[in-house]
Amino acid sequence: MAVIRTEGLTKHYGRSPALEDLDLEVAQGEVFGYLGPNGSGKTTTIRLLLGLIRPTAGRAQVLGGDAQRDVVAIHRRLAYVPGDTALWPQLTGAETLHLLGAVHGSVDANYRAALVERFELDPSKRVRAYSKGNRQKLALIAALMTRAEVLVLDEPTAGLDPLMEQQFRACVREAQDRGQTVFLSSHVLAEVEALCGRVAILRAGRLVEVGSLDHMRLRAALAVEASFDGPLPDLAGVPGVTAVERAGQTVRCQVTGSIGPLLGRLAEAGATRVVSREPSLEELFLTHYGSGPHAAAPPAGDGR
Amino acid sequence: MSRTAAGVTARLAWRRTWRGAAAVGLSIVLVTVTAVLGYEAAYPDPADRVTLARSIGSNPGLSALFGEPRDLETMAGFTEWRVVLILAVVGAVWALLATTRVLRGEEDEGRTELLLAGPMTRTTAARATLGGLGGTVLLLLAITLVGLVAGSGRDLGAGPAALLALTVVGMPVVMVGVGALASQVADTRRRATGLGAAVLGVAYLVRVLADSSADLRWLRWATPLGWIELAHPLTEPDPVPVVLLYVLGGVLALVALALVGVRDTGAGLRSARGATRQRVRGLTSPVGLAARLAAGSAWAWAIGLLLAGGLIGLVARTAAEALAQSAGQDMLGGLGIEDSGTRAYVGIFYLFITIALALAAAGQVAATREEEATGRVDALLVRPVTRGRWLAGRVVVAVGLLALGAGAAVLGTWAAGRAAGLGVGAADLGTAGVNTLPAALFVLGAGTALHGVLPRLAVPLTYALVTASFLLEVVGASVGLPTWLLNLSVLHHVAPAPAVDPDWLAGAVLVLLGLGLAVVGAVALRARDLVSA
Repeated sequence: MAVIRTEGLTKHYGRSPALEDLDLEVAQGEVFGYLGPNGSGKTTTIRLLLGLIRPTAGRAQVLGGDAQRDVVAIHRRLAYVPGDTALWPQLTGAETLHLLGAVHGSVDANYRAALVERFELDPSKRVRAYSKGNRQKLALIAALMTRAEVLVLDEPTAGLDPLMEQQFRACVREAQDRGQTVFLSSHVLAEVEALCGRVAILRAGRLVEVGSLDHMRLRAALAVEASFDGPLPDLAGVPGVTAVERAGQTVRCQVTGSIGPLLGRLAEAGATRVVSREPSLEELFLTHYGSGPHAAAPPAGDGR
Repeated sequence: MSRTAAGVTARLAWRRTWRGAAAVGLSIVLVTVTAVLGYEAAYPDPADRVTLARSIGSNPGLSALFGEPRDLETMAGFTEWRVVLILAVVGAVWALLATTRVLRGEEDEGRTELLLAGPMTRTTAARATLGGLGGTVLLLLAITLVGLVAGSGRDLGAGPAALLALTVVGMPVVMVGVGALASQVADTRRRATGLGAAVLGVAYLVRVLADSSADLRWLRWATPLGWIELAHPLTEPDPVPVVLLYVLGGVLALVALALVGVRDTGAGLRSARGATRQRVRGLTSPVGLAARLAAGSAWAWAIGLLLAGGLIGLVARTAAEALAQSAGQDMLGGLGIEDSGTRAYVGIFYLFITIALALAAAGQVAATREEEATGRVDALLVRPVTRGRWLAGRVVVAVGLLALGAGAAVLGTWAAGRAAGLGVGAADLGTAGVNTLPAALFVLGAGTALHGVLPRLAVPLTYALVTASFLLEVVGASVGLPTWLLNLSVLHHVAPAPAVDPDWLAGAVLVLLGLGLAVVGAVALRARDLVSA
């Protein structure tokens, strides 16, 4: 069952398009990564899912309800963490958690206490006195303590230290184990790689890629590096090969589709060493962000 | 390098304030020119002017409000009495808001830190900001000078018109200094503005006291609003008090600059407490949160209005006795007041309570908009809360705040009046208190509609509604503006109870209109995107 579904979801601000014709489905129990450079439309998508802004065209459904119309019913079963948390500076952390819990309706008080401990938050201070990281922790605790069916997280670890980031990952895994669905927008690719089964990549308001990470790797260009004793072969015209670079006795390139023709040419030219590896998420990401395959990082040392 | 950084900072302060200064400057010119032209039109006959002068001149209530009149049978005297103090106060309020905005608001938002990370000390940055603000004040002065000399120089004389401009702008200069100082002492913009407003309020009250009795005239020297009065730019020009205004503004600004280095960025001299008592009671719903957030303002308004109401109760009898011996009825007749004595006095003063409440209503609209602009409302709306429920909570709390304020004013007048033998019953005072509410409720509704339809302009437009109503009613009525124009003022529809019976029909219409407009605001808010600052 799709917990989040968008159909042709579009948002324009005046004439400038923020999101174009987005079709997306997130299944129940999934941890879904949502990637894109700054200004690519990630937060716009999330604000549309939350009903904070109106779509120019298309629609968004969350938990079977319309994201604009069924706000109350949906939000009872959803929790959200913004990347830049704005809370009332005059309230203390404990007062904020009390308020947000009461407004949400159902809170697991024991879990809340456990979360406060895990994230090492001092709830007796006023929000005004919190650092950015501590405000972020407060927002995370406020969202997680509800044990909502859907967690919508918009760069939730911005400002967290590495230890807290570990706690966050543990919490997301626990949420997944409980069957909660997680929609995670993030810039921290390691975090997405560690947590997410499926990933969508957005660029300039358009969805450019969606699928499981494994599937994306399979389809993506393979990075190949070959060394030679003699003259370097000319790889131009070999089917599927792009981004050829020469450095000393080494040639680097990327290949999509069958690797056979390339291997044939390399063997023919007397390659002494051939290294190939799958692209990391970062490279996949850069391939989509940059202006083409040339933007992809060349293979370097540690293949994975 | 640092000169460039300071230049950028100064230009930033200028860019964020010059429009307001231009609007205030044009208002000063417009109101003054209208008063000058209106006097000739309304009182063409010298005999009328003498009657007017006699009736107003012997009314201590009006003296307390507008200052002590002199030479009312001349255009110069009438204009001076009618516009100088009011316009100085309007300019003062603008100056305070603009100063705390660029000196403290920027810091609240964390934007100052971006500038301070550049090659600049905090004192340099504050000096540059004040420099930009100084440019804005010069613009205000230039518009006022040129406008008044060009618009009324022929009627008043170029020299007096210029001194009039310098006098009126002197008060904004003082308030830039007060605002700068308050921005160092308080730890948020809200508190800095509150502190500055309290200073202005005390300055006004001291002047009221000074003008209420001949024995207290010397008190004028204790308040900058007294200096405004002592300058008499049109009747008996004295440049000394005017110079004092500019000196005081400069000294306050220098003290503020000296304090910048003493405190931490983002904190005040009076810094916020760290760990505090947890108060979760009532903090369970959007309306509970709204009540908690509004509590500080509610107390401030209630205490201020209690004191103002008390002052009315204290000085009313003396004023009433003087009024009874005078020909004041003629003038009061112009305001629709047939009664004389204490009730008439209280009735006039309660119009000012009405204005204060209308300002409080505009303040609540601003607070609601701020919740949206800062994104704090998101924390509620991503939970099971509709926009309508949130807005309704804010409006209900605002209505409560207004009712509390009106109640406090009535309580103050009643308690002080008992001690001073006011002779107006609790029931009549209560009625007068209720009568102050419809205008404020209308402003609240109109502001809520504006918030729904034009979120980014809602706050300035709501304050403009109150200011325009105030200027139309206070200045417009006596210079014979056309009825349709006066009818545009919300305050024109408020009868000065307890001097006359409240116009309940007009009140009901205002309240219903306010309610309808609030509904329009809620519908518009539902249909639009949330808009950040």
